[in-house]
Amino acid sequence: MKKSVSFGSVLLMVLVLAGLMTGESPETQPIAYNHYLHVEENAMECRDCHMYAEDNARASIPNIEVCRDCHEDAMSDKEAEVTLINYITENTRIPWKQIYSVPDHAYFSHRRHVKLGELDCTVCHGEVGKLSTPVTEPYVEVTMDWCMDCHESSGISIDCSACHR
Amino acid sequence: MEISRREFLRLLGATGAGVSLAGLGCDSTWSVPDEMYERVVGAPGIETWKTSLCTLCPAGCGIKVRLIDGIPVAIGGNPLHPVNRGGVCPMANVGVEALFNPDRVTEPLRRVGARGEGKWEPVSWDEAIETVGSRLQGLRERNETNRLAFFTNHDNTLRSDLVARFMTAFGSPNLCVFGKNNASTLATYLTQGHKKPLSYDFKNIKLLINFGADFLDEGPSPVRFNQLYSEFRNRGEGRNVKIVHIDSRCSRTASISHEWLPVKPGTMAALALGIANVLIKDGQYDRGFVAANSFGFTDWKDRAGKVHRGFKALVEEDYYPEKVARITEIPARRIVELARTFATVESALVLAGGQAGNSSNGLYTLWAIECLNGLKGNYKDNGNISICQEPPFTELPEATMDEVSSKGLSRPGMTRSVTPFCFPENAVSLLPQAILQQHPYPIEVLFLANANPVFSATNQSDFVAALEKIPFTVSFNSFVDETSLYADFILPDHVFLEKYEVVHTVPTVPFSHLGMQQPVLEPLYNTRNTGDVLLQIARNIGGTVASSFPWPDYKECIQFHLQGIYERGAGTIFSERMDDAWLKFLKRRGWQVFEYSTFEEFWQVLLDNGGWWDPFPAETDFRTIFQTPSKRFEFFSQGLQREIRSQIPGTATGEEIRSLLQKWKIEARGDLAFLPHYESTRFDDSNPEFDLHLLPYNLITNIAGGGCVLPMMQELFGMLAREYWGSWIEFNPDTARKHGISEGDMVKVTSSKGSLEVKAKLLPTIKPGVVYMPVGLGHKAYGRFAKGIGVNPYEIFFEDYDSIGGVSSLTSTKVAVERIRGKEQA
Amino acid sequence: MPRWGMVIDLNKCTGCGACVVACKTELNVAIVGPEESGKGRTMLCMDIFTFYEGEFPNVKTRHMPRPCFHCDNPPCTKVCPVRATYRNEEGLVTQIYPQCIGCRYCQVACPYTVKFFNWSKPEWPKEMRKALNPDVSVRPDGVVEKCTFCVHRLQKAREQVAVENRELEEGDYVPACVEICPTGAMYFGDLDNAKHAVNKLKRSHRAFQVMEDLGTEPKVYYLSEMEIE
Repeated sequence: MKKSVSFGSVLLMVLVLAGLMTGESPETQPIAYNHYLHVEENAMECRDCHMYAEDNARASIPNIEVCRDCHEDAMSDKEAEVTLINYITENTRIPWKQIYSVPDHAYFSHRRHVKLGELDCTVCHGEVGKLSTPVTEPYVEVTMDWCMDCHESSGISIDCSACHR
Repeated sequence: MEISRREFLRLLGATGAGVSLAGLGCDSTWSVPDEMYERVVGAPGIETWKTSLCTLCPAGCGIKVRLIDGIPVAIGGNPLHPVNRGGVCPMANVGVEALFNPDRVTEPLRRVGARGEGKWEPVSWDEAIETVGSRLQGLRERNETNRLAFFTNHDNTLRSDLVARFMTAFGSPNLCVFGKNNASTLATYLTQGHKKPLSYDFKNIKLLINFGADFLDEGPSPVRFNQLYSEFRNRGEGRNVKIVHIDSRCSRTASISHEWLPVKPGTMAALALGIANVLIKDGQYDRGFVAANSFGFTDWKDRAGKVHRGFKALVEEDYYPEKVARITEIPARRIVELARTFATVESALVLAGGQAGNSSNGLYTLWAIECLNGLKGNYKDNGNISICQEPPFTELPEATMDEVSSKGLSRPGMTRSVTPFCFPENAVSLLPQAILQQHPYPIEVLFLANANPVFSATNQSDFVAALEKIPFTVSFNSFVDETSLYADFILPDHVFLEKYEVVHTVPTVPFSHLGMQQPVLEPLYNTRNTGDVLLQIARNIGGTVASSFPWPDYKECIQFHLQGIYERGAGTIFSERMDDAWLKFLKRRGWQVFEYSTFEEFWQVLLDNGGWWDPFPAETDFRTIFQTPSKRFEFFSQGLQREIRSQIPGTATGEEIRSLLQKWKIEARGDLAFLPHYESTRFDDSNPEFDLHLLPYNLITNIAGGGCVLPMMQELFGMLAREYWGSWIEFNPDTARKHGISEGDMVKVTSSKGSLEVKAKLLPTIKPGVVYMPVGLGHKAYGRFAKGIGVNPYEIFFEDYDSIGGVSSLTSTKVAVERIRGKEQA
Repeated sequence: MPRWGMVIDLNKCTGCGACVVACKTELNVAIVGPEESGKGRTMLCMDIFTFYEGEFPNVKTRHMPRPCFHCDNPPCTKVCPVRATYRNEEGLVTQIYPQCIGCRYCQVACPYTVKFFNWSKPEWPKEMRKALNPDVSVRPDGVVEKCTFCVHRLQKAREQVAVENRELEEGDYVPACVEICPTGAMYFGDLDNAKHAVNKLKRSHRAFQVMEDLGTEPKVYYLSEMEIE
């Protein structure tokens, strides 16, 4: 099924490509989550909520079962918390929008980078803890170039099969 | 315009732009399934493993299920399970496909269309159980509990036992168990006087002669037999087991045996007796065992002083190798060679199955084969053959029966009316006759669990007619199979990954054992464990039926049974080390592998490790297994003699007896009928143009029919034959040439019952004059992956039965084949 | 540097097909359905070849499981224009799907027919997608696929041993086919490491490689069947 490529489509593709490289449009999160409040004001660690960041490939985005630990009862009358408690009492999952993702043909492991590589969360995620509004776009665009730059400069394997699967 | 990745890359390659695209993983060009992607969002992807059992076939192998965030994604073997020792078959490996199969019955259904039309409406569990209960109540009020029939497959589960108990408590003799191994229990009954499954100890054997049992693809536990066969060939220099396989097709089992003897279909009895002839002539049989523990070997006198012919005389006179060679088409030299090897090796075992039992002369065949084990003296203390020991479950008082159920139970079973002899419970294929004739009484309510005779019987259309005649049918299947299409209600069971179950006492296994099945996730749909449903129905009926089932749910019923094992402290929960020395050490110190102070702890360890076993059952005197009238191994069956005599009036003349025997299709006259002998096999001789024998065979991708709900197994149905999603027919190249057929041609296969179109395969592993078709495809229901794929050979199988047992004969079909079109046009 | 390889004992293999199926599920190899299968497009990374020797009645059937041979001198990698398939330092002949342009040169070059092209977008019924292995990508249509010796398991194993602060040992990294084999007919490990079973087995008098004369230097060895004494 061979398709001929017209000039128009070439142009379109270049445009699409350009659009992709400048990043995706910002996402709207279901709750106006405040990292600053948790990390800076209440001195919580990232992994208090992103519980698996050290021991697992995926760091995980906390959902009601994690939030419930502290927010069983309301601590404030802020709109964000009211929304959260609503999710908890209704026992429905918070439909977080995932901002960072690695395609499934590449193996990315938080454990490898955080625990073994001793990288700080901020290397990829920036100063998330200082954000008082929800994360809507990634701090870095996770492209293969981004990965490779770091791997090359720190002498980590750049063999394709070390990550691709 | 849709941008595909291919064009993207072509474009980029042309312009030389080295832009990385790896960041586009969420792009729609990567066909990451939505569901999978959704799961990735936010979830930690935690991997866990849970121990359970696979019950896609009756073997019940121990499995370990891999779960990602609680969702099962793959199944491997449980290395602690002593029956399958960490191995699994292809089917179990993709068992999660049964769980996620989109055509599962997700809630109770009530039929709205005509029978067989497949139109249903959802109904609540309460209403469905209420309706079923009131039907049963009606039978009880009218004192006709015998009008309930239950069709099920024997699957070694505790549920089978529960079903039997239910039928007793309710008061019906019509528990009809469909199962392949029925034929072999008949031979056991004739020679040993009991119907329990036999266990085999292969530890010391040097030679295994297998008459037609395709253990690697079907039978009691394919995984175990794959491991055993492999082990037989690799015990090491001088300790290997020589395997000789006898069948008309070189099955996979035969292909890894050391020798294959391509026997003519239906003549295995003659071959077995030919081997016996050499043994007896050479005097190379276990004289001690035969003299002390057998009956009817030599000529004997009854109480009246009449002399009866013994096995020895019969075999010596009638089964000399040259004659046997003519019958079986195996050269006399090879028969003698095999017999001499069998006679001289220190320890040898003979097994039978497949076409040996599925012939019109199946019982006599299996009996003749079993006699070889008798001659070899395989029954002795620490011998190779014993009875399968049940685990020491809590002893349950017999089901209580009130007057109604005692009366119902005392009525003759339906099959009793259609087969005159001692094995009516095996004659399930004859049920439709009895149901249609409503003789001795009509069946009013039918329960179906896992049995699918409308697909797997040779008289499928009779089953359809019978099902249409039965006023009320309830199916407990998880899928709408061909038989359930005729049901009025479907009360869907969970799929095996969602429920509690116990599989115990798998035939042939030489130690008592039980495997634990536990749910690895919450049930996906509104289904219920059939065990629970039966308990609920019993409760609704009330009275003695309810009091026979005192458990609130099936899980507690299981726990009740296991309490006995816990209290007795016998055996051990599966543990890490299984080698002999370790086990003996444990036995000496009283089996204290695990410590538990309460039953709850015991239960938890049992679930975690997957089951319990006792590798060293209590030693019993081997003589106690012979429960025949003579209390010995019977070469001359007094049991059969008694049965046949009981059907013949005392006043009958010789002529009348002869006509009765003719009616029962027994060729033998006089004492011969009570001795194992070769009855010439009956074939469909209605048309001389039907010049080829058609035989069926099974594949490991569809053990006991379980593969049809697994798309992967449907795709790989014929992976060794390189035939995917389709059926085929196998020819010897000679046979094919004579019929003008080449590899890959479409051929029309015609029997007296109908015809099928199927692809031809030419293989040197088939006896000339015989053609083989694999069974398992050709479903007319069972969901999108099964329906309309391939053909079902049983549709055109000639109907005939073993004269005595009533087991379907699968070797009697004869067909004509005709080339329709070549490969190119196919 | 390990040199990963496999030994398959044909005297133990019964041809049950568990390896074929375990491979298909582990690698999310698509089920193509009856129509595509009819066109010869069934996809198998692990396959079992059946050979018949002799004629009726003296016929011997032999089963031979066939993964990718991960040749030390692979013909397939030399023809790849985009380096989607290449031999890495540990001897694994990789297949990097995002890199593959689907030209199928490598498929033609492989003398062992281990490579196959996926003609259509893999589709699973919605309900069944949950059962896919999350460790392996679902490939887009139009790429050449093959056995990877379950390299994704190596990626994970390597991380695991790093966490446990030890070296990779035999058994840490085993492909799905070897793991599932009910008869223990398949062995996997470092061919150059004397501690690994494969190192000894490949030197057995029964050991052979397939089409050695091509100079491909396959890293899958077979142990021939034994005659009964």
